[in-house]
Amino acid sequence: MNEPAPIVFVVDDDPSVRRAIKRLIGSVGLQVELFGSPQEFINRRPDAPSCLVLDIRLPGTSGLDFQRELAHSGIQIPIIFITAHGDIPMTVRAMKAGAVEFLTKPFRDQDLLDAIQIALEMDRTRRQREAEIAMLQVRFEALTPREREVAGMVVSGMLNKQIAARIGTSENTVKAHRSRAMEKMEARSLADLVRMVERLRIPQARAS
Amino acid sequence: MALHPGERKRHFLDEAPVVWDPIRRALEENEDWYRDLVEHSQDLLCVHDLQGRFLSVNPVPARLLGYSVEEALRMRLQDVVDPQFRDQCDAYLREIGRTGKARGLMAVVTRSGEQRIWEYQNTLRTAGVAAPIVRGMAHDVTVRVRAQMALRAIRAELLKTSREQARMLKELTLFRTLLDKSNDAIQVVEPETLRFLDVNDRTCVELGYSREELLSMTVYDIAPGFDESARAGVLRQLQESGSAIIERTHRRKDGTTFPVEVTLRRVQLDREYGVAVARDITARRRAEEKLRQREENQKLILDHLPVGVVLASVGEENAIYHNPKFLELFGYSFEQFSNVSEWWPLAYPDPGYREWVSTEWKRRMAEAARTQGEIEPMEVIITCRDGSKKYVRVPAKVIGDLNFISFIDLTEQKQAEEALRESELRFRAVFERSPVGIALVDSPSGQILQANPKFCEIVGRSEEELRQLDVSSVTHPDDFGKGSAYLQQMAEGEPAHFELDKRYLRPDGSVRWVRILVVPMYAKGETRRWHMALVEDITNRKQAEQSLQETQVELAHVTRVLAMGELVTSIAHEVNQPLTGVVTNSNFALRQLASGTPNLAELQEAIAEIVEDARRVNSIISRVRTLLKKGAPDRVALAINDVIQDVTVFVRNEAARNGVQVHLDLAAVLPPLVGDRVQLQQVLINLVMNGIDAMRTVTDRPRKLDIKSAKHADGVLIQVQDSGLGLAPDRLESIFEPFFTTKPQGIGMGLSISRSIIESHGGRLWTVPVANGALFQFTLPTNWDGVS
Repeated sequence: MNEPAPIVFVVDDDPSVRRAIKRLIGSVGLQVELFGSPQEFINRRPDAPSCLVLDIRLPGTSGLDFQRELAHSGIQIPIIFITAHGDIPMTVRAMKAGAVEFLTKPFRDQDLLDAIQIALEMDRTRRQREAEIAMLQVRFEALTPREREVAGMVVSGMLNKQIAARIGTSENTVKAHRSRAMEKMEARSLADLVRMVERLRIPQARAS
Repeated sequence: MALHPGERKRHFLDEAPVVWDPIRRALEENEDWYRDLVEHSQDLLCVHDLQGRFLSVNPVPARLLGYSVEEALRMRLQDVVDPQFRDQCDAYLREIGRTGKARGLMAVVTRSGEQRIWEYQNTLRTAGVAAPIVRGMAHDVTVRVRAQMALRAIRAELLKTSREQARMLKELTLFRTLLDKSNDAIQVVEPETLRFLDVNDRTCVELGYSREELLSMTVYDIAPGFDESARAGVLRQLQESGSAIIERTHRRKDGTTFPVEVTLRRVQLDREYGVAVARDITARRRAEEKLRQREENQKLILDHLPVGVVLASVGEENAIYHNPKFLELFGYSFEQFSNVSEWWPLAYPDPGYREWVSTEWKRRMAEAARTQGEIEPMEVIITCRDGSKKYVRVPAKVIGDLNFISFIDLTEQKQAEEALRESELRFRAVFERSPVGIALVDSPSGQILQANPKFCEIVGRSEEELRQLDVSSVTHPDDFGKGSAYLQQMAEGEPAHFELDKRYLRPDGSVRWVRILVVPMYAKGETRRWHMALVEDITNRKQAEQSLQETQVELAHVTRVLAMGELVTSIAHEVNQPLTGVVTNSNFALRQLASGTPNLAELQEAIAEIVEDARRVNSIISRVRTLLKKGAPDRVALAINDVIQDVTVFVRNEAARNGVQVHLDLAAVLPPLVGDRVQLQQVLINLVMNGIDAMRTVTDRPRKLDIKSAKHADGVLIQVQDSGLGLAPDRLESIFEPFFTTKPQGIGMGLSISRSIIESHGGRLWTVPVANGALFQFTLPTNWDGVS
């Protein structure tokens, strides 16, 4: 598998802290990009596994607000919060919103590095999943309307006979559609097809 | 040879024999011819002797004389000569007797008495006669002589006439010249058409026309407004009195006009002429106008004199004139009274007073008459018609037989004097009883001119003593320099209005604190320069202030500590940031060292940053420590922008925590100040924290805190503005009162202390209403001398 090198983004308004973090992360062989404010970062869309180390107290907006803003924009990047003075409500809010970790300054180096590893792994998984779905989507697009219809009924557990009756054709014809759909979707078994369609979240016809 | 025809002389031929007949005949004939010739000659042929007796005479002339020959021969020459010429006749006889001839004219008288003139040419014959005889030949030249005489008379007459004419001509020329040179313009006009027949030079000069031009014009051409009806009026006058004098306007060739008085007359010579003598009366008009103006002015002056004027006869029985002011002043018009004496009882109703005025008036009049001097003016109280009384000064002057009396109203002046006197008394009382010390001081020297009892009490000296002293003699030596700039300014003549606090040293050695308000009592440029010092004893207040200030320092500290408590989180954040750097960099360094192949360059960088971050931590800690330090104010030179930066560091986290954006707008160049850094930090922290607190509930707009510094007339101006809820208008001042608070956990000293800190720096702290939020601002003077 030829995956692009992962990137760690750091957003902190204190240049000294930024530089120190870069040095630390860099020392474990990871690529690091630094930003002084969320605004500088917001247009960066990496095509690689990545995570965001985000200071909570930032000029302009707070890190928590920015987290929400990213979620609204559909940008799914794992976030590790760092703060000089955190309180419990703040931590709860951050974690609820999907933060990977919440570290208090000054933090242990290993804690940060571990959190980064987890975050990158999460992102990697997410990216794989998204790639698969994208592939299935392409395959599904290749089906004819009748093939899609038949595939949907098959997945919902209807028998060939039932399907033929429903759409007003012969059982053999249903079989032909079904096998062509399986072939186009590269499904090895009926279970495989069911899983694929589920991932695509195609609405299924009711059995009865 | 006078032959008498009647007488026949014996002739020699008469006696000649017959033989001689032919000869004789011839002779007779010849003789007859001669006789006939003589007898018919119209000329007188005569012979007379030297006595004048006619010896012979021819008949014709004898007849002319009225005599016969016979009668003539009995007469003498003298008898026929005009008795008037008898002497001439005698002279003739003598002349011819002497010279033998004579010629001339002789006047003779005929028998009828008619005079005739004869011209004669006579010779004397002496040969052949016994006695000389005269041969007389004469002829009548009466007609000729008479004609000649008449001719002569005519010539003489002619000569006379021509001389007369020459003289007349001369006179006429002279007369013409006189006319031309006359100061009056004289015109001869044709009576019917009013055409000019002749004009003198003056007319030409005055009207600007040449004589030729005028002779082609009429009176109407030069007299605008002179029309047929005016002419009719002139004609009427002429008929009534033979001449007319009118005034009209003449117009010059250039169009300008001038007034003239024209005397018109009709003159009957060979025909009727109109003669006009026009006199330019511009000057007279002007003089008349001037005179009228002057009279009017005099009237105007009298009418508008600010004093009442009455012209009375010297005895003052009658008032001839009074001006409107007199009426206005008193309400009396002399037209109401037939006699001045009627007025007196009204003007001076009190008999005693009237008597006094009358007596005094008469006395002064008499005195003036005696010394030929001015009448000494009286001052009297006149009762007006409406019953009010007026205080009047009455100067009078006798001019000719008139008494010119003026009435000058002094009522207001008297009232003002009275008011002034009362006012003076009042002010004197104020001065004497004032609870504030008042000293009047000569500005250039500082010499005390006058001091009130309170001032004496404050400085512990008597007024007499003070009058010998100057201001510095009562001033505490440590305060000599105070206000010296103002005093110098006043010494140079520039009024200075100032206020200062200083100490007086009393003779007993005790010290009084005073507040002095100096008020210059002169304007710029006035030579007499003095000022008033209003002196308030503030010793007690000063002492109270002293203790209050100590309390305030304590309070300020407490407030500061409280503020710091609020800022703990913020400060922790500020410290944690560099600490994070330190820890992270240290970890990195350890990892590098542990790896066995450390990147030395990176390692050095990391350690350098560790040192830098550690320094940051230190500086933050020491700033906090300063703020928590207890102690007296410490005045140093400082830049207000640095103080603002310090404070921003403290509050940065607090602001971020509350979602507040702090925005700085600092002037690039500001004058340096002298002040207490900690105190000013405290003020700013207070204002900023208040601002952040005020925005806590704001959700509909950005929470913004603007801190601004700028130059100001007083020095610098610092503004802190939030976008919070703002201040209730009725609380704009009460917020500065101690223990005023809107916060549950506040002690309400923040703004009160902030204001006293700024005021102790010579500045001012106040709030300005804005649309959204609150704006607090304070000034700090740059030239503040630190005296409070």
